[in-house]
Amino acid sequence: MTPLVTMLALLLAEAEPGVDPCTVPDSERPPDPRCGETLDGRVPAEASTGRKVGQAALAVPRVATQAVLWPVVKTADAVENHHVLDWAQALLTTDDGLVGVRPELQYSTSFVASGGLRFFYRRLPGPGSEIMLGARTGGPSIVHGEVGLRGPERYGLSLLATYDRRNDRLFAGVGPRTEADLVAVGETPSRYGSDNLGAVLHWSRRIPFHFVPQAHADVQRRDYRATDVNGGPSVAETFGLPADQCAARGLAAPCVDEAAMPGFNHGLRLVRAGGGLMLDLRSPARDGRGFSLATDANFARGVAGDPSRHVTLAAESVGALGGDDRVFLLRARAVMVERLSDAPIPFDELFVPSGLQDMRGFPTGRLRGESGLLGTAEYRWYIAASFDATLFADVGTVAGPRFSNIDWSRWFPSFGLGFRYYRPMGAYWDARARDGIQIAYAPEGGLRLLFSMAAF
Amino acid sequence: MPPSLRKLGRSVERLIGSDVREGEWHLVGLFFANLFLLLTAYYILKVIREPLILLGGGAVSRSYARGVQAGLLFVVIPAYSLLANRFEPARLVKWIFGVFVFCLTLFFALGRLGVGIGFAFFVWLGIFSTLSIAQFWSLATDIMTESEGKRLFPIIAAGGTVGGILGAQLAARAIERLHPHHLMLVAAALLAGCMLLTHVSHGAGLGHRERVPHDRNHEWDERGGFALLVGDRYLLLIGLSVLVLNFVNTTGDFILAEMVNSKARTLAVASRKHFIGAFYGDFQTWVSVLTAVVQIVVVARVFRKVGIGGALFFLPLLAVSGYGTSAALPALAVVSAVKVVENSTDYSLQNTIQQALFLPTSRDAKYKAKSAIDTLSVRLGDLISTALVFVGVHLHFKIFGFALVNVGAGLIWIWIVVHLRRRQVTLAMAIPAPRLGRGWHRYAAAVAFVAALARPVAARPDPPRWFADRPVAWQEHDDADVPAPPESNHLQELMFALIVRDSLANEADRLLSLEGRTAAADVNALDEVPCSTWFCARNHLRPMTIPEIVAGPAAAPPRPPFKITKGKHLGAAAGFQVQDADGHKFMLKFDVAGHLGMANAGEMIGYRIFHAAGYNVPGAFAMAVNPADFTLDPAAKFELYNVERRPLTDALVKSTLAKVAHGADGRVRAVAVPWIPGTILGGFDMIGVRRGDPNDRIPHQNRRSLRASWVLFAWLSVLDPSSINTIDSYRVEEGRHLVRHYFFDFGCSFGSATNYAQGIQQDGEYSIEVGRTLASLFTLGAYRRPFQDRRDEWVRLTAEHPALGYFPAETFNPDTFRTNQRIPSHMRMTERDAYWGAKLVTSFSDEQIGAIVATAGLPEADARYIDHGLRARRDIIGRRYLRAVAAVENPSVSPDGTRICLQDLAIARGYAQAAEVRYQVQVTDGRGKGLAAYEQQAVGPAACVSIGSPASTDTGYRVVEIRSHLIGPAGHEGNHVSKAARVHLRWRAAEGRFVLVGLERDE
Repeated sequence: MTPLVTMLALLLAEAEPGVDPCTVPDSERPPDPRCGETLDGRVPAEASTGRKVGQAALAVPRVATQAVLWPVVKTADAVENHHVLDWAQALLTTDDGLVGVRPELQYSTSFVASGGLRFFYRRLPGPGSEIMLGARTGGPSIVHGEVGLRGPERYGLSLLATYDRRNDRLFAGVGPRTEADLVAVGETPSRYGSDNLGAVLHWSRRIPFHFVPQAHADVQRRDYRATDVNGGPSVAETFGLPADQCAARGLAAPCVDEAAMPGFNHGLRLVRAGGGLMLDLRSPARDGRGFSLATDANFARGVAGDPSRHVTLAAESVGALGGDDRVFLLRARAVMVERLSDAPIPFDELFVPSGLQDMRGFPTGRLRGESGLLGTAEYRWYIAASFDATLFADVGTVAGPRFSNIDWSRWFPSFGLGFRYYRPMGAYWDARARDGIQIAYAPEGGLRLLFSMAAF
Repeated sequence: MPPSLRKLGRSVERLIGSDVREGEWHLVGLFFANLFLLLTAYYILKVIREPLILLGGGAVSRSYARGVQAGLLFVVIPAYSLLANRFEPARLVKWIFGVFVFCLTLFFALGRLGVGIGFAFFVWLGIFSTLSIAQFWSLATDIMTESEGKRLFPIIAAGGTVGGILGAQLAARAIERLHPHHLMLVAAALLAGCMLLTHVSHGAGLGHRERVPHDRNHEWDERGGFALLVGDRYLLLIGLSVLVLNFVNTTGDFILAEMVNSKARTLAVASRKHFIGAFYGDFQTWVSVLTAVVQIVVVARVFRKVGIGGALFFLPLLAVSGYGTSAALPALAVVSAVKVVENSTDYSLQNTIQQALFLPTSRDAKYKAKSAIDTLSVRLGDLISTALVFVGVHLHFKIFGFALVNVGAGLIWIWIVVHLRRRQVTLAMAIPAPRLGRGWHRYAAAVAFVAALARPVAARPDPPRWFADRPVAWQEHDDADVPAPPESNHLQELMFALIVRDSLANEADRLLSLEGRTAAADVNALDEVPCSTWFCARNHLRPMTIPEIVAGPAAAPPRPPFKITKGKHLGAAAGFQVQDADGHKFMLKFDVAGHLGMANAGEMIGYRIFHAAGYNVPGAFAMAVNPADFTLDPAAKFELYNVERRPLTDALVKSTLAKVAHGADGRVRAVAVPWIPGTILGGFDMIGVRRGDPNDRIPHQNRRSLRASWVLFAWLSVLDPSSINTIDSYRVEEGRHLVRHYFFDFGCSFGSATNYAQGIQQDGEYSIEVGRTLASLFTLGAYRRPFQDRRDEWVRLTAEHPALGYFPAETFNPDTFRTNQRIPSHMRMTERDAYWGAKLVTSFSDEQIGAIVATAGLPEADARYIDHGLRARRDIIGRRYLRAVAAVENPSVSPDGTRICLQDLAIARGYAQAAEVRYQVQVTDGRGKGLAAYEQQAVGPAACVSIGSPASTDTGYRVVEIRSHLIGPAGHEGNHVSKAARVHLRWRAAEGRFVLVGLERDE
């Protein structure tokens, strides 16, 4: 019989109401799950002996894996089922989505973490315009506040005022000094605190022929202190002067040797202005190739009794060999700070190649110099639609004025591995990186964890 | 062969458990002797390398040398591949041995001249050890077939075991009398012997290949070893398995060394060296003894019992349990025992398995890719372990931490092996039929073929499960009255949580539970899915007319004007809940401006296809609505950010309508989906059952109707077929309360992500892909997904059809298609389930497809694009799945009871040609006893095969197993043998004949 005729016959046969189907002899009725039977009428297959042995052997890892994963699953379920993130967004954002508050977190190894909130207001004319207020803290000695105004994208203007107080800033002398060099002269990387107040006006805009000019002006006020520091010995212990010498200089003890840290004792009051030009031939795609060359000059002049006068010149080139979901980048950066008066360049205005965007294996402030060179090789490749992995090597050094006394045997390498996060909507190669995490290692610095990604 | 030798051979066979056939002893002896000499030479050189490097440069040089080895391999392997492309690889093996002999004599000469050769010799030996052994086995796998290798490799590998033990003992004694340089000459002489034996083996192998068919017209693949490795998933899995094995092993060596050092530090300084020396002396002795015992006594028997695929699991399981125990009990005795068992299993069973894995591969893979794997994967595993040790020491890992890392690596290894086994079994199944020569060769080949076929049947451990002589079930009877509504859920609102649950926790559990391939439970005795509240077959059992198929599920069409009652808060498409002029409720969904048809075409077409296949869907009506036909219910609300209820205002409605696609006449293009009647219980889960519903007896992951829905989703390129797009409705039907299960929302079909074109990765990858992500990570991007080479195609198709999405036609590959997450039911789909799903898909004719596409009202070019894509993809699915399993349908017993007549669906639907199909038929008595075996040429879509004698057997049962051997270049698969279909017959005494009682297929 064809299946259709069979089905009709059985439907007719089964139409008798009120009869318990399981009492009908097996040979006269098809298998019925209501009677505890399988639909094909056969006894279910049993697992083979080998499989049972394997299952027994894997019982413990299976339980352990579930013990680890199910809390994650239940958490994800609870968060999504109760719309936790949706509620957070609803509570922290207005109905039109243009005004709201977002949490922020900042951390890198060797420095105190800070967390806070950022308020944004976008009910302004012109797409991309925004007023922003942010505040982060990591305790009473770690405070960061900022107020910003960004104009419409087509104008490229922004104004940002910041107050940044930290007591874990790093200073390890000036020049390409290794840990061994520091120890040999009885010095170590030391900490200091500062209250930095500044306001920056910035303009940048892409113009035809792949050029991106930019201009900026800012005022800076920084007050330094050597007491109540965090994360290491104070600079006063390492680079300080005896109390009588402090008194002789009219400074309260403990004070710092101005020869080692120019500008520390009196603080910094500067007005700066500058501009630059970038030729950007790089494709914006995730594995885009191309080349960019940027130069920048920033003139600084002391005010309110600050004698500083200097100019900072920087040049950077980035070459990207990309395609096929991989890109290899080479970056070279050269910076020099040129004194324009007899006053020494404040220590805080020197070139600092160590940190999140440069020599990532070293904490910010580990190396300082009047000039310096930095090179990076970074390989990025696709590992998932939302992630790229990166392998990088940074190497740099600092030197005296105009790259004098560059010691070619004193290059500081660091290496690392990182991940960049994307949220592709459609073609994954067009997605822009949103966030990243990096683990960097320097032979003398150890491992560092950075919640950041390379900006180039 | 003299009787004494024959007797000796039989004793060796019994001891090892191998099965050496007539004419094979010659070859076995040659390979045995060759490997014996090779390993003897290697172990002599291994002993003399230590004093040379340590005296030359110390332990630091040793570490650098390993790094240099790894770097040199990046040059050596491509060079070897180039040579293999130019010269006959079997000859190349011989000449490479010659090069090694020359190198040894050179080292001897330089050493005698006082040149410091320690570092260079260490580096050279690392490359020699891996390349020479890799080459040896490449030659062995080239000459022998898969079944021969399984039988003979254990006995050949025993030669290596014995050679290794002898070589180490020889060197230990000889080094007291001879200078290390002189021992190099001894090793060179042994290698010269290997060269000679390779020459003789090659000649014997050529003769052997005459008897066993090989592809004479092999064209060499120009790609190098690395390219072959990353371009072939099977080879890549072998490489990864070897890499992880070496990682685990080297890390284990470190753990053991640390424990030994810790123990030694508790002793007096003077006795530490002796303790360490004695410990490792005993350790190596135990390893050697156990290796020899396992190799000689266990390996062949394991191969016979569980096959190569099953044997793959031994070492990973051992690693997980052993290092897990070490983590829990970090004692020296425990760790030593684990390492002894691990190392001896590695050197014996695992080593033999690794060679056997290459048996079903191409010649290119056997030489070039194998060299790459046996050298580079090994070294990479060591290097990664070294890196782990470096990081772990810095982070102050204890033994517990390292052991735990090894457990984690072991679990990853098991995952790799699960996939590797699947591939190995699939490759090994493609047994080419022997080419029937002339005269007696034809007879002998046929007998050998039948005998080979009969072997697996004879060896099958359990008889096939029998069907009863009963009517076939066409109803599941899951519609009994359920007085109280079952438990409801919010599954249709969960996406991220389900991705995490199903892609991580459930997948890990499925793999670690060794679930394997389980048969679906909603299947009747004719391998069909009976009618239920989930599915009721339509088009594939009774072809629907064009008006029926276009009408879709029964529902009253919407009649404007529409009163908007609620904003749509779930899903990506803009829309409203509305009531029409007749008071019927609908969900109205719009396309986004500039993408006319992107979402709604999927709705219109997807609902009709799924309904015609047999699933429950609410239906869809395409409309062009005048904005003036919308009125707003004053109580209408919407949910801002999915949580905050806000009044729906005119302004919001207008702003929504302004962003959606309009026709040229200003009307809004929409699809109206009727509201599903009844109490909505939420989505249905793809695993488990719904609590409180006694009718829900079959776990959803074991429902074929859900498993095989994957085939339809792949056909339509649906992005998100998870619980988020399902609904269970509790309602009254014919006076009974029951739950009916629906699929809905096909807006993400045909390459659409509702509001934008799906990225190419969404078509070919799950949201979470741990294995692929790790493969890309550890290969630095060398591992590529299939879709990564189709970027240009995506750009072209989305540029040609910007309103729609990426919907490839001829380049569609169902094996690489992925939805956005691992659905538990889809992950358990077997080939048998997929075959059934392909039946549903291929039941749609060109006319039916054309009529369904026309309902979407797309512009002509877009409609042609979808229509062409659906037809091409349907045919690809047909070729892929209807040829993979014997497409036996509608079997019936002939009136005289001597034959079964059947329909071959693959031929009937045009996915195979009769001329290319030969049926391989085996008839048994239901308990494994063979009654008949023969081949029969197909002559058309119908065929009748003999069941042998029409009289009853002792068992009163008969199983007729049919495989389709497809020969020739036509079609998708080329030359291969399909999985079997088995027709079950029972003797019906009252009628005096066999009657059909069941049909099943291999999973």
